[in-house]
Amino acid sequence: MLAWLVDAVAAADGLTVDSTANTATLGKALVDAQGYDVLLCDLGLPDGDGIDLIRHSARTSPDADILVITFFAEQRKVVDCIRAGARGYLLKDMDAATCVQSIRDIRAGGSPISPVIARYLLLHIRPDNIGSDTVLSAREHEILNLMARGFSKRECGAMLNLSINTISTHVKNVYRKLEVNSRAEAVFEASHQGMIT
Amino acid sequence: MIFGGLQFSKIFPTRPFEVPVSGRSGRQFILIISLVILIGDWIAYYQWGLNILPAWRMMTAHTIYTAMLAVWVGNYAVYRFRITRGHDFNDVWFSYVVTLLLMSAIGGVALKWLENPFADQSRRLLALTMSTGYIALSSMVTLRPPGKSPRGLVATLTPVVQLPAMYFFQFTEPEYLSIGIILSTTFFAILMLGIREYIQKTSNLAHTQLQAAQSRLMESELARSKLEVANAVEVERERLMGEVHDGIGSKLITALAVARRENHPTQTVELLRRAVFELKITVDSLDPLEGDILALFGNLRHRLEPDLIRAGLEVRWEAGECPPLGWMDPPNALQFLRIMQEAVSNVIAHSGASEIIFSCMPATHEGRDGLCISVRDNGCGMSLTDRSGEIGHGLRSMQTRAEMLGGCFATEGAVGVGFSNTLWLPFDRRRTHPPQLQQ
Repeated sequence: MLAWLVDAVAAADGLTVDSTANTATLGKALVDAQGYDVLLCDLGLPDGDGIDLIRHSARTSPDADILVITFFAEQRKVVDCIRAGARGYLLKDMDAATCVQSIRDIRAGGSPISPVIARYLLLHIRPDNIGSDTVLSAREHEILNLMARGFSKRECGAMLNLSINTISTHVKNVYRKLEVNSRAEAVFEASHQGMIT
Repeated sequence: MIFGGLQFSKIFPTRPFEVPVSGRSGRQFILIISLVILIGDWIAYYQWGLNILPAWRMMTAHTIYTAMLAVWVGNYAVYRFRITRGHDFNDVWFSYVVTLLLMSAIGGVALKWLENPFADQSRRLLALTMSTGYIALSSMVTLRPPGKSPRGLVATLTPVVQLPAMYFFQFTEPEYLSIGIILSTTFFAILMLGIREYIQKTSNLAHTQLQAAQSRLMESELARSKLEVANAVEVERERLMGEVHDGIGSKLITALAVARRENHPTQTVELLRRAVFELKITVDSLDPLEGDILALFGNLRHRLEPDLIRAGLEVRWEAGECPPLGWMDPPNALQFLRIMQEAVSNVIAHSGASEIIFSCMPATHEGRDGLCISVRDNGCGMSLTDRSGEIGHGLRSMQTRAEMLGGCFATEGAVGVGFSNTLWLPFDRRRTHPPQLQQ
């Protein structure tokens, strides 16, 4: 899988493979070394959970985009990864072209989304018209609502008079809000339990 | 039951009034006191009235005292007899008390009437004392934690029943005897009603608290057992998902990658892709999204998007306002997803269409509310004669799955128009109305 992905990325124009690791320990060393734009991370590493690596990277290199490599992109896993700081996912059975396209999309500022994840976000982030770091704006709410009802990004764009890129950017922003939310929750939990005073 | 062993006395750890009627010895004590008052009254009456009252009045007084004595003792004897024989429960004590009270009320009024024109100051004082004794004793006897028997209230009200007769004496006997009796009767009536009310309130409060505690306990029990089941399901799902990821899933992915890299025949690659896809929708079906069909269907479309693009199909998505199907659980969600996946596969493989239309709308069928989910195309439109072999088998299995979902499935094809697969699912799976007969 790793070799195949390295080949696919290396063959693409404008993308280079900085470094690779096949364990969580080596991965952590790579993240510590910094200097990368995109982190592709599998969750099932032999010596640890990829999600810790994602969290670490989101803290140390906030400007790097993180894509999680998943088999099913099931709601729970993807949501956990977004909460940790990921901004998108690659499916393990994607062909090389789609993988490369996803990496380019994320660099261009957009994130992928499925109706199930849109539905989750709608149910778990409070809507608000004031606009803040942790609540959904009216526009974001509108977009997620259409997405959760099965419309594609292109169809959403046509209905709301927005470009696909704008829609993707909104999605990425919502992911960031979910991450901020879950970090706030974690702080609240911790202070609640007396870990932070 | 947790509260099975809880006794009434535990709700009242300190009872507001210790009433000597609850035990056998308490009842006998009251009986003895009653008899002492009765016999003392009788002797005092006899000594006083011997030379004052005419013989017939004296005889009537003796008859009344004898009758009262007989009623008190006889009733208690019958009460003990029936209790020991098991004919009655302890509650019969109340019928005894009520008889006793009515008797002393009637007897007391009659005796006062008999002595009325002849009584002097000292006799009146004695009569007042004795009457007050009867009233106090009878009032106390009726005290008991309420809610057991409505007869208890009748017994409490007996002093009140005595009042009209006493008012009558107010006219014939203007002295303090009748005023004193009226005042004491009123005092005890009010006192007893007040105490009864207090006990009732305390007991009601305790009862309400007990009920609230019980329902809270039951709620939390229910929530806990639900949580336990949910946790067990969750653990099992995690385990299975782990198996799917590390076992069959990763093998399939590797096989697919190898087949692609080594340029295996398209059929092999397709077969592997299809296997991976089926695994994906099986995983999707594990979370039926509280019956949100639109999201489930939308997710299927999202998963199929690469295939649709590769087949060169334009997608049209039509979504109405679709309330959730409350009965949608993982097995049903899988049936639903498989029907729709089969429909899309047929479009990709056989229709030669340029457009595929997904639609999910509320729809009524045979008078029942539900959702209509359809996959249509603008392709060749398979005619009936084509429905043999693999396609026919696929359509039959979609039909069977739709029936298992409690809905119905229909296909329609016309050359030059296209082919449509329509699935209707009810909101309520119970058949409330039998199918209407055609008139």
